[in-house]
Amino acid sequence: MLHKPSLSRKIFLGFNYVILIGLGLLCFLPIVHILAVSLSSKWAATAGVVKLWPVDFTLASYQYVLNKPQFMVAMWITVQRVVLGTAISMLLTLLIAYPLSKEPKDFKFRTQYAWFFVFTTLFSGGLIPRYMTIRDTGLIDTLWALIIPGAVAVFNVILLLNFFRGLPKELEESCFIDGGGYITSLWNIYAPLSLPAMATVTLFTIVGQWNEWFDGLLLMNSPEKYPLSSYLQTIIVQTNLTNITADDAAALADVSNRTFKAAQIFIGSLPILLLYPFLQRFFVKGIVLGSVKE
Amino acid sequence: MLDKKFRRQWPLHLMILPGVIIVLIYSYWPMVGIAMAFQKFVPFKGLFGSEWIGLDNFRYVFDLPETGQIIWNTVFIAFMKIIGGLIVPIVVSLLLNELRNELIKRGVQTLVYLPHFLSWVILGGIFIDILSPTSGIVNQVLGLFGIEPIFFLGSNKWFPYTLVITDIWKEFGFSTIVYLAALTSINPALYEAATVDGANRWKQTWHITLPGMLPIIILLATLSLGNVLNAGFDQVFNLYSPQVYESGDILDTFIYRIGMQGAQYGVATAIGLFKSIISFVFIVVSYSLASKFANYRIF
Amino acid sequence: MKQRKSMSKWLLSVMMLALVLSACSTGNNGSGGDSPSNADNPGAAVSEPGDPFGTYDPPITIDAVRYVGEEVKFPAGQDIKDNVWTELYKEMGINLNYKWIVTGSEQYESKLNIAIASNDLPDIMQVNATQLRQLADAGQLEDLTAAFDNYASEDLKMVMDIEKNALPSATFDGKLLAIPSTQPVIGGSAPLVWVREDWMEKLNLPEPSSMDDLIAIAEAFAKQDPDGNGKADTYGLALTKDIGLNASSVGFFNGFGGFPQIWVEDAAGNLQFGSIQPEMKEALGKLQEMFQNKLIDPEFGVKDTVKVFESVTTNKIGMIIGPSWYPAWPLWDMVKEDENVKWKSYPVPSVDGGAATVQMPFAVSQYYVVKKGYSNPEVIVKLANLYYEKLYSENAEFDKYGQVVEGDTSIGVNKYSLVEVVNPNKDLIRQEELEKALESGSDAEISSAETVIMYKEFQEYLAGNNPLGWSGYAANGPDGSMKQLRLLNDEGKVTTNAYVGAPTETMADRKATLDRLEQETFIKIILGEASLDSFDEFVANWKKLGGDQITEEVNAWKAAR
Repeated sequence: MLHKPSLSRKIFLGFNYVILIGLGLLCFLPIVHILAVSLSSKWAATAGVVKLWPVDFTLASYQYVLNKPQFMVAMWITVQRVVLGTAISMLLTLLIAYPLSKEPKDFKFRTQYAWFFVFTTLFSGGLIPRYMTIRDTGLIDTLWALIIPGAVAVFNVILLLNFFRGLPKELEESCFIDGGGYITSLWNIYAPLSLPAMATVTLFTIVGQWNEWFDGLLLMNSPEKYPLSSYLQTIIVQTNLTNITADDAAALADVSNRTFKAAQIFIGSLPILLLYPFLQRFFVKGIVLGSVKE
Repeated sequence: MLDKKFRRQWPLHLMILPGVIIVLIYSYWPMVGIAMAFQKFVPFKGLFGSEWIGLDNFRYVFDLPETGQIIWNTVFIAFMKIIGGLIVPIVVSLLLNELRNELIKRGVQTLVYLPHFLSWVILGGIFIDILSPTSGIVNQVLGLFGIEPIFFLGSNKWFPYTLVITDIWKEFGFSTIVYLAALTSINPALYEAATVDGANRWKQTWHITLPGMLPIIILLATLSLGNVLNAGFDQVFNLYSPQVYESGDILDTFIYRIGMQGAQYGVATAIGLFKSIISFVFIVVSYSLASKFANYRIF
Repeated sequence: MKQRKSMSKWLLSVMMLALVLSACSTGNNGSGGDSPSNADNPGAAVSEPGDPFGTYDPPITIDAVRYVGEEVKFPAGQDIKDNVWTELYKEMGINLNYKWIVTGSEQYESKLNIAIASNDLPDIMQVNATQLRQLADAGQLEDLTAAFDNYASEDLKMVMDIEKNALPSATFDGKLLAIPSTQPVIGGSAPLVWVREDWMEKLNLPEPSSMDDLIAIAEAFAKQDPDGNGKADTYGLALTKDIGLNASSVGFFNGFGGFPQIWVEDAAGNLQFGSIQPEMKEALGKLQEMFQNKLIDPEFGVKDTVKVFESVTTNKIGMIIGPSWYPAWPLWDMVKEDENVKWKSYPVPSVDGGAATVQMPFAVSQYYVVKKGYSNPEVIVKLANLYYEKLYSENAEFDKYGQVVEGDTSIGVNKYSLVEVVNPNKDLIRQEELEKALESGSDAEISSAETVIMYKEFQEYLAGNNPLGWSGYAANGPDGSMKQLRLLNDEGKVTTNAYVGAPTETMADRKATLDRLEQETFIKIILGEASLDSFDEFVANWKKLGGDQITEEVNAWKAAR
């Protein structure tokens, strides 16, 4: 860092910027396209002539969405679900990952426990038994049906336990010497010291909660209770045009408006798109902490 | 002695208990449904009233004339996705790590994570346009280099690769996040020491950064091997057509079409079980390999 | 090593535990479902003719499930649980209690499958043919024979008479187990040729009166630069990727006397599968030639209907075979944008000249059933009576229960009815009445308030006040697509699937394989990747892989009726 960069390094850095910015743009364009469609006229969208800039600019689709009560209701349900679901899931993830990060000599059945959890990511009983179990435990048609059955995210547990293992043992030992127990150690040492990992896992949990649409359709008994993702799924799925009557077709022509769909998709993903830039500061914080730790 | 150990460890058991209970109820209990794989399941007779037919559901699927090709397609596509899905995020996170301009670094990080949030239903329509051999932007760019237009979505030669590349494009930004998190936990003092020793960036990457990321790389590699029969239903379903059945029809789309003819719970469960067993074998093998050769226990 | 062994043992024991625990739970569910067993005397309560519109006193409550189409709108203050129809039901002493509601029919189908599989049925529900068969075989349905005989209104009986196969398709072992939801499928599915009339005029082309004409038009559209932009960027005929399933290709096959994916009667009176008949080969040969000749979009193999609509809307394709309602979507979007664009429909021509016989699906794809053990099975018949009575009979109140106008939007409240039984010829009758009314200048002869509304729209449109009326007029006007279908229907040139049962056993096992083979073969032939003779190979394979057995089953079904 002290010496001057060599020529080859300068060239490399130049290319690096070009490649990464190029990649970034490549990933950005579809969103721009969707935004452009949402701001175009119905004809332009049906004709597929909208690329990255609106054709026949209009805000009609946003007016439509903002006047649509179901969209707002679904958004509110998603917010509840994400907040509650992430809190519960993160708590469980921490409580599972911490013991599992111990060596077998410190926690006797850790390996069995680990496989016990991993096994569930590989084998499942299928849709019907899962539905029946959730029904029989009385969760159907409640917000909890979206939160409890999937609260243990095994992938996140494994990720977090691996980060926990990377932390120096001495810190925990000193905590024990000061009279702290496992809970204190987890809360005061492990969680704060693995902030980047925690931020990652939190991000995954929030995104998972936000994106999951199938359980809403399966477990809720009326569309007013759908979270946003389930609601969006019902509007973006293409209507089957093979078995409809002439009268239905005329009515469908009204709602087949792609600009409406694009507007809902765009507004519906805005909050989650803004989440990552917000979480990024925890990644930087992690670097600072990391440099302190050994 | 065991007692004493238990007394010291019981808080750990207690901590893990809520998770165990939830998993027992919502994951293990429903696993009784796996029995359907061996039944001609009739809804109103229930799981224990339906006729047991042994391995007939498996035999049915494996006797169908197209199954061999479909399994090959599935494995080929899934395997390439696993490889690409590992390498690309690692490379990108290393490249990002070299950027010194924080604004651009964060900007790129954010942008590459966007496609993860678009569903394949939406992307399907977009890809048909941009990959079009007559008017698509991709072929226009390739044309500048004198390359003949390629029918990415309609040619059996190209279709699997198109699936792999578009899937990596959609997901790499999201996996990059994990590696970036791993990078932050590498001790900066190591780099300083290396710089003093006169190691250039390339050497530092090779000797410090990569080894620092290795545990996470092994971890994600092992876990992704469980996907060796998951070629991505949503993606294939929204991009394929009878024209590319030969190279693009996979187990999940096939089972879906079988199901369209009437709910065949037994067959669907049997295929699910088959996939689970294969994944399980792969995970167990790679788990033991990792612990044997890298001396690293993944979980 | 030792550790792993103990682990697997331990896992095993956990699984055993799970199995045992669940065994108990499933047992309970099973017995729970059977408990209301007063069902041994089906229909015994209703032995004499009842009042088709009789009210219930004391009121009854029904558990029901339903879907609401994405396009359904509500007037202020109403929703699916509380609207003019639920009010009407309440007046009759029927309280609906929706166990669940979903958006869209696809969601409904999968949710109902789960309800069936987990033994969680409502009292009345709408099912498809497969689900009907499943429930009937399991003995879960109430016998409606007596209920229909005693309670069906004259109108309902009339509708069931028009589609002769409707009631038989719902009858199992002599028992009527469902009320079929008949629909006017002719206007929804029967194919017509839609042509850019402005291009025809410009290139001075004759009407398509034979398949050769149609192909000549396609060639002119592709080669003679109909849009006048100096570029060879147009195609003659639109096709979608699902060959034999979408009207764009189905209509083309019909022109050659091929009937893909449906069962047709041969000279000996046996049912044969349309997709494997030699006429299909001839049509495929023509499509192959057309593709080679660049009359068809080289990328059609990856495009679905909506994608093809894009090409049509952007003036890339001048001819598309499709149903009568295309003016509403996608053609209206074009006509609105550019007044020079003119679309006109023609009957699908046959290969020897004149109009070809075209195909449509069976008029019934949905059925209404009552769960075994429900005390008032006749209520489903009354609901069906009510639908027809309030919308299309002499006592109809269409302006209240059919369509209401709120502000400047009209809202189809008829969609709130739980049961829908429509005259299969509704679209044709409407067109005929409209035509006569336009001739006479009076709506006196029009039998339905719904048609009167459309008549008024026509008058507005013809007076130049209602440009939006174009799509209705292009379909239902004196030269509209529906008129062409009506004439075809009068000549007996609209055929339908001769097999109207649920999928047979071998169909359930093999149809996915056979369809895949068919789709793949057809598209490869058209693309020229396979020779036309591979059709014969396909036919042989089709028969070998279960097709012969299916044909046997289908003919056995026919013999049994």
